[in-house]
Amino acid sequence: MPLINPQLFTVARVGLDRAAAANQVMATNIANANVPGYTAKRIAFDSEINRLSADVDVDGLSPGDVIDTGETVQLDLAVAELGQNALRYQAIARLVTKELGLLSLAMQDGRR
Amino acid sequence: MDFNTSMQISAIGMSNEKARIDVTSLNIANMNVPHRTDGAGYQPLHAVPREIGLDFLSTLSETERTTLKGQVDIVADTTSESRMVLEPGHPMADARGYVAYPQIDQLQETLTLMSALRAYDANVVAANVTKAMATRALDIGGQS
Repeated sequence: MPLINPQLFTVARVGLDRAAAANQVMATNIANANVPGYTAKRIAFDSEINRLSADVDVDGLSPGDVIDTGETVQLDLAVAELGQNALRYQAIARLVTKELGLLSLAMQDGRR
Repeated sequence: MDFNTSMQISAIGMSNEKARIDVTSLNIANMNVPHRTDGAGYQPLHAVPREIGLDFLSTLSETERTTLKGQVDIVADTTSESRMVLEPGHPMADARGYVAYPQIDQLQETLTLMSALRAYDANVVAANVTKAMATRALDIGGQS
């Protein structure tokens, strides 16, 4: 196993993309909260991301289908979900930064 | 991934809620303006927001895309009956002493105001969250 796992960056990219897509759908739900007849949408992600192996075709992964939950938007839940999703995004972004920090450390022969 | 779209969706959400607040304020301001004796007068207004789709940017015209307006239909309620109040001696009173006012329910209007305010807040939160995500994306590769 190499010190820097290239798969990690790929998976992180997919994770960031998905969190951003989910953010867009959640923002749409909140913006439409008072539209008569609007029902909440969410993204159904496939579980392809679970496999952290070399044979995952990342570019072939679908960004996730938007499905209609058929329920009206509950503003409090929608805002809570939004915060949770943003936290996930920030965690992945932090992870990428840490991994890059490792790479930088290795390049400098362990010196800061 | 494009954060602009999320941001614009929240902006339109805010604009829609603001339109509801505008219309509700207008209704409340005209609540006690009597109809003229020939029946003409203020009709209660309803703000009916249009649904914003995920691909909404492509459905907007060029002007709408730049101004982010035009997402709310404002409909006058022409069917409601006037609210008749017995005020004999009032200059606008009819032969039986009744004055016609627009059919506006103050409780309903206040509730609309509150729900629009909360929804506006939620859109502000969504916009802030999007901003935080975009900022964090810029931090990738920075000092950890």
